[in-house]
Amino acid sequence: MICWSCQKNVAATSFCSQCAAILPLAGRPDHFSLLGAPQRFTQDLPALERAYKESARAVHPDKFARADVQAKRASTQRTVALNDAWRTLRDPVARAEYLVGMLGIEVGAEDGTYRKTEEGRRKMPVPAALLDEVMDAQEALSVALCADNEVAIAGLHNEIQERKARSMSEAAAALDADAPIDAERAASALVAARYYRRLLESFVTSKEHG
Amino acid sequence: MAEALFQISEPGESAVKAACKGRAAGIDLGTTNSLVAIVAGGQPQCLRDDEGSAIVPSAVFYGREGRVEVGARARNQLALQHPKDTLVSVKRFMGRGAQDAEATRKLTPYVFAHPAGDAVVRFSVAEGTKAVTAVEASAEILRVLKARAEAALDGPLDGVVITVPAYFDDGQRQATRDAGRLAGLEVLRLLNEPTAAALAYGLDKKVNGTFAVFDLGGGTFDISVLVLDGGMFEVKATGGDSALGGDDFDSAIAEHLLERAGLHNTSGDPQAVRAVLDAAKNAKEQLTSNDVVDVSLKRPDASLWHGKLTRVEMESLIAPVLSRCESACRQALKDAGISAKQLDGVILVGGSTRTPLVRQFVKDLFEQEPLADIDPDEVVALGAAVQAELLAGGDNPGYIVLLDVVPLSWGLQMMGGVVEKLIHRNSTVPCGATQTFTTYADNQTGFDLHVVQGEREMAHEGRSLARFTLTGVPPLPAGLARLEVTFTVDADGILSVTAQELMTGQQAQVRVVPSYGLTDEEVERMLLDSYAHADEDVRLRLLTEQRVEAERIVAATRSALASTPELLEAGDAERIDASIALLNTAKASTDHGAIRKAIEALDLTSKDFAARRMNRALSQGLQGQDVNAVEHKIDEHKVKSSGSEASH
Repeated sequence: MICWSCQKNVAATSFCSQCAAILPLAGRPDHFSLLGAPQRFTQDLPALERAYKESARAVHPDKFARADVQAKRASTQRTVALNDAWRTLRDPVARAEYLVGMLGIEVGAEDGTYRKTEEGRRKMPVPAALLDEVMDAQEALSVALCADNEVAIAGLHNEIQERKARSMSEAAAALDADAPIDAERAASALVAARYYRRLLESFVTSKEHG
Repeated sequence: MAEALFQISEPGESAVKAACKGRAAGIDLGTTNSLVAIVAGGQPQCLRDDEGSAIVPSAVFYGREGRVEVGARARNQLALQHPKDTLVSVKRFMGRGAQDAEATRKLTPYVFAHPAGDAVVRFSVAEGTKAVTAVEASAEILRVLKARAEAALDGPLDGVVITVPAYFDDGQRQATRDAGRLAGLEVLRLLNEPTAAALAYGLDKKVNGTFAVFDLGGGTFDISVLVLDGGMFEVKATGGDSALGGDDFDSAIAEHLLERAGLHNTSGDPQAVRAVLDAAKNAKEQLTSNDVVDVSLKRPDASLWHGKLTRVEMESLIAPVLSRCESACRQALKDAGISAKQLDGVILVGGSTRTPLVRQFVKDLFEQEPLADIDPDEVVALGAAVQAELLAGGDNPGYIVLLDVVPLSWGLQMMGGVVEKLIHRNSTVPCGATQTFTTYADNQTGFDLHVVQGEREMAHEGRSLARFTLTGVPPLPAGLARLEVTFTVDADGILSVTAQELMTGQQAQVRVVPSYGLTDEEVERMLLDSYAHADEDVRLRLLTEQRVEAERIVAATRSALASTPELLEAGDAERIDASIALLNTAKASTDHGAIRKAIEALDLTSKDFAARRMNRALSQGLQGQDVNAVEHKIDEHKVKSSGSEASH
């Protein structure tokens, strides 16, 4: 790329190799390459955090408070990308959904889950068995709430937490398997995890209201 | 000057570090009191007046013939004699709408001026001869602080850091930045007050750990949870209430006193309102160390009412106000994923934390004795000075990076009023989001986007921030134009929007209409109006802005020339080069008007070339259509869009 500051043709790194000016991001690197992490589900989180903090420290707008407007813009753009990457990758659910997204499946779009195909987007229906299961759990929860049965509520909560954990391990196994990665299997596990998460949230809200 | 800043010595070095050691100050622009601090001899210190007071009361008196007075005399004398003309607690009105202002306070002596169709709060002052905004009044306070700092530093300030409550929304932050600009200050950064407090403590003690900052000032309450780790401050969560503070204690006490004195309908008498609020504040402060205090109030017939107020009585009056802090504290701990016991410390900030009941409340809530080693009135300004020194490129051993978060979610109002969240609460700033929109009508050349802030799902429940009008979208059949809109929240927590049509690569123009704040044009007009105060540096600022704009345009034109030289017609290159040369000459001058004219001239010279570039992009997108017909459409729409812009 051409450096905005010295006009020389230089490599697209964070800083110009010729004049050390901060350079804007070239294109849109994915979150993993931005933080120099392997593109997989299992991550060394402390290493990821170190990479994030080191990079953020180097390009943060605090270092360019009195710099030229183009340096400020590049610094903001790079920090935005780093913050986004770290925010996504540090959370296992977000990380898994992002990975599945890189494989062409959009989990939890506004009205469901989609698979990118050659013709466009194809909707992937939620399995009927999962819907039944969630409805049963909801009913069991409202019965327990009405009866004010704390033991039953706690039991249900643990049960759903376990199911969510199982879904996440299922997604992890699918995503980190040796090629070919079964993206659809990972996606459907993630869809289930989303439903369980929402169920768990309804425990919190009903507790607060009650 | 901007060019000089291009020189960067080594990767990661602050651009100006080598160039100059900064003259920087930290400013706590508070609701009740404001302070300014600098770093001298490696230690931050607040700057004091001749009487040794660091505090400048945030009171601004407007008299006739342009007389303005800021500080103690305005607060203590003029506010009583001329309550309508003396603005106190003006920070509450920063970036707020006229309707908000009426609702903000039950007891308020101000008269609001309501020019037709104006959403900004304006106070009618100087005996009704002048209408001023909260931004202008804040700028008056900043000018006093600026003068104090420049006297101490023996020269002009290079830049300042101004603190804001972490809970301030975009409009309030923008208003604060505008006030700085209006006072002729270069605002290096808006810093969250609790972060500033932690900075002051963190540097002093070099600790790592997780802290809560409980900041109860005159008009605002903030709670933040921060992690200090190896020179990096990370704000994990923030919450609070930008309309809750010690002033509310005063109001509650004042209402009680009025009732006991049998005084009613004081709201029609601003002087009486001010007097009773002052009596309440005075009583509250004395009850910090005493168990009982004598209070007297003047009746309308000039007779005096005498009474006693005990600490227990006062505590029962302020307890309900204080309890409003509790849920925000619990939410902040929850957002940070930490329990009260896990905190390594709770830092007290703000004069209201001197009240014993407040300390007890904090102690009970967080299950530990709060920290108050540094004067709670000064700690924020001290932290701001530390940050200002770092940003301005002074001595900078272990570099500190602040990772602040957005206090509220940001969203975009979709059809039907549903809000689509773009940026989630507690995301680290700077942050951003990208959304792609398509057109719903043939040849649509513009979009309106409504950005709201808040946690609610429907737009009318959140706080309207700004409407962005995007124009200059190339006319294409419905659904074909794909507009990618990028939202960026910068390190100051202020939103900006850019948009690009994906098929043609055409950049759309974004016009911001802030819902409550001032438009750029208004700020510029105020700047010009205030020449009497703001002397040379305002002109310098305008000049810098025009120079930056000139640089941007030259760079864009050069890159267009380089990427599509085949679209140049005979003579084009020479004419555009000549315009660029003229612009560069103008840029070297100190006349910002001349630079603006040269920018417009370059625009005009390159217009046909730009049109050909767009036409090519379009005809690549609309293969099969008659290019002339498309060209015709473009012309038609240019007329339309310029017409509609005028009507905005």
